[in-house]
Amino acid sequence: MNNMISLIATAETSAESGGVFGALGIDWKLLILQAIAFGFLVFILAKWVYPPILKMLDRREKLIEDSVKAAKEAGEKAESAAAEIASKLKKARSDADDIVNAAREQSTQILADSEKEAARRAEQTVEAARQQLARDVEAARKVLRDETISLVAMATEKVVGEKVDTSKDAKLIRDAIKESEK
Amino acid sequence: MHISIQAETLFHLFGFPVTNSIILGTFGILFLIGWMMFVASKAKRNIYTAKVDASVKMTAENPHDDKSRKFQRSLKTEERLNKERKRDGFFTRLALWAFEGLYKTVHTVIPNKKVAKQVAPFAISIFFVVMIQYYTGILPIVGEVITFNGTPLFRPQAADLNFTFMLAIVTIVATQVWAVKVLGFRGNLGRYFINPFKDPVGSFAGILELIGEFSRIVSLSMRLFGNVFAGEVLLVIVAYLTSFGSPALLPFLYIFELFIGGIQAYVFFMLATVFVGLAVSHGDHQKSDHSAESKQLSEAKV
Repeated sequence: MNNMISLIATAETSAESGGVFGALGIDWKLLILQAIAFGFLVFILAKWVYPPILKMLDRREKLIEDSVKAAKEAGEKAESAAAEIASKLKKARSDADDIVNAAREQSTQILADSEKEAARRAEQTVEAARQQLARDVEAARKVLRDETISLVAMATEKVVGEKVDTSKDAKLIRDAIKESEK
Repeated sequence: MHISIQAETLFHLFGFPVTNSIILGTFGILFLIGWMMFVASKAKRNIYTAKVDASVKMTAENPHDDKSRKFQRSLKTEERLNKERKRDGFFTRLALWAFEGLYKTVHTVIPNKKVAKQVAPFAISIFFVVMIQYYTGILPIVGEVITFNGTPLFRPQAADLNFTFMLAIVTIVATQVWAVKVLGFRGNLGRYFINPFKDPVGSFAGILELIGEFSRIVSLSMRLFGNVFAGEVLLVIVAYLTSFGSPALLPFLYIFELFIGGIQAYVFFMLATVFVGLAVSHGDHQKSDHSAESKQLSEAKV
């Protein structure tokens, strides 16, 4: 507390010597010194400290702007790519539909064609078989007739006992057969 | 307890009284210069703005193609940069962050870009110097801990009215210089002296403005001085009163003082910027019906 009193005392004595400014310890020499020190500080900071920091901030701002732009561009690109993919998918789908339809049509056509062909061929085979059969029947009939003639001739010869002229014989028998056929 | 309103002279050097506040203030300024140089050297390196190729990043999917290898490389670069950024330390990044914020503030308060660019170094220097002088003032070595011929060797620089007075005078003088630069000599005088026959109210307001310039010097210097001086006295008195309990209580007060220091530095910075902004935009706000002024003031309050 003694110090407090001494403080007031010193303040009063200096007030006597230098007025209010003296009481507060304001000295023009010190003011000038402080101003010089501050000016020195501002000079050094403004010359060597702030420019690099400002440059860094500018660069960073530019970097941020660039990346925002790049992101925007990428987004746009992705959007356009998505649209392209969608359109391509649509086209592919319709193409596939077309192809399937065409294939289906073709297959029905082929099926119908082969059915027709098979039917035709079967008919042909049947026809050929029938003709063959007719021919065979005819041949068999001829053989049978010839055999019958010779049999009848032999039988007649045996019955008659004499051999009539062979050709006469045959003629007779043929006539008889013709008559029987009627 | 030793409390003195004025800084005490320790000795005389070439006729200059060397006070205890000058001793600590010199340390403060040297530390500030060294630290800012360090921060600037960090900012010069490219680690905050190195480009990582964004297109490579987005297209890398196949692990064997060329782009993906590039992507791996860019990832590694980014990791390395992140590590370096972390190694830079909290305080370097804090200084850069503060600088950026203050720079942007100056540009919002002063719309005139040319003036803002000139004001920014000055105003930001005020912020940093006030803060550093405040913070060195609450170091534990300050006060009666170390004495020289019975007087404390260290006293907060900002608890010396010479310092705060000088800052205020420099601020107001600089404001005048910028006002003359932008408005011209006659234009600057026109802020204070208006023809009373044309505009009697404006004439009175102009004279008030002139008185205001002087009151600004007093208010700027006294506000800072009072805060620092009271802060120091508060710490000392709390330490005396609580004696052995002081270690439990003082840390909170220290943190509070750190907070106040930041606030005071910002207030001084903001006021200096707003004074220049008001002086420079004097011609505009007559047309725009005080909107610029009120806008700046509202920003200053925020």
